[in-house]
Amino acid sequence: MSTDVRNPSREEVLADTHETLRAVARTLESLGTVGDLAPEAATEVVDGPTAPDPGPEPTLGMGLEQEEFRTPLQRLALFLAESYGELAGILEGLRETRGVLQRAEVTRLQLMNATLQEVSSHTEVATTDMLDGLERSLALVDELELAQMAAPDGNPVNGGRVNGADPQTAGTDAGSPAADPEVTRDRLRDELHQVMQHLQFQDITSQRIGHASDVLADVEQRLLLLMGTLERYGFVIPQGDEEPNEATPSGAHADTCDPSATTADAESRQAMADDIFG
Amino acid sequence: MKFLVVDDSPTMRRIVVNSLKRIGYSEIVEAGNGEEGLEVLDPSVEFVITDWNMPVMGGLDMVRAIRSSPDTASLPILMVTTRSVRDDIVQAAQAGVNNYVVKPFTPQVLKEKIESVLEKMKGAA
Repeated sequence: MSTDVRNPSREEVLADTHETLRAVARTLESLGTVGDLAPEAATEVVDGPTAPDPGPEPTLGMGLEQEEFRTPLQRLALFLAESYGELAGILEGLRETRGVLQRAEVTRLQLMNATLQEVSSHTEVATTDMLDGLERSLALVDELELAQMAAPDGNPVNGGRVNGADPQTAGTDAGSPAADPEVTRDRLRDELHQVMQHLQFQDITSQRIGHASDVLADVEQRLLLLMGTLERYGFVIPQGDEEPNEATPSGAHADTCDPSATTADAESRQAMADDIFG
Repeated sequence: MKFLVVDDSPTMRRIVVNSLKRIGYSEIVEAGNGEEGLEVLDPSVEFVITDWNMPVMGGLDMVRAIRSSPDTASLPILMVTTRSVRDDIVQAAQAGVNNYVVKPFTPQVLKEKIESVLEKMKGAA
């Protein structure tokens, strides 16, 4: 049985544990029944992860170094002492593995935190853009009202212009020389359409949030499994040693969300698509 | 020209529909995923605009289904999606998408891509 206790993989730990248990089973078979065991030896095995204490070196000073002088019970005691030392090493390796796993989960959560902050930032930008658009729209409504007041009979003055304003360059502030109502209406329509376009952020951010939600649910499941194992054995066994994978969500939103969805760089990303489609 | 707009996000569907109306197309049917899209796809539909990531059936699977049917194999399809990794775009092209629009888009880009697809199909005919 050999184990690199400094950094054993899960497979190595399981293989070594399996091998040890099989060896114990073989020895017990050769002895007959478990009842032949000395109570001290049985207690030592059952107690589990206490400090590894091989005991008073059963092989030294007792004539046990020579195989022919050992009784089956002495051989079992010797074997159990060796196995216990190895198991202690394995458990130490498990502790280290647990630490690696915990660090990986922390990294994953930090990534999700960054994602949510980005979503929050995009939401703020989109909201600001929409507010700007709505303010410009309100100003245009004021401008239309001003134009209507200037021509109460419904007929535009000055050949479609109020106060001689150029409809293409008229200001948008309420109280400024009113523009051609038709031009103002077109500009108002444009502004409202732009506000609607800004609402695309909702689809994009909801995909990011969906992905973050899946990752958090996955982390929660892993932690629950770890807690279950901890409660049973007092040690943590990782359920998987793979690194967090941002690109492959497996939760409820896996089919409906794009983890890399973003409102940024739309032009350059569109240019890449144009390049491929010619 | 009658359009089919497929997107699981009602907000995005409204934005696409609004953009289409703004650029002069007013006959539009909508669907919330690829399966629903195939259900409402009839001979009167002349152009399909679809998202990629959707529940039940995604846009790419719907495109493959459309291309595999002799009745709809030559239907123009435009994909409008957040996915903008090169491999994804290539995959969409290989599946049979005629052109690709990255979200967020402007009505002008949508108009250009629709016209580009129609011109190419007219040239090929």
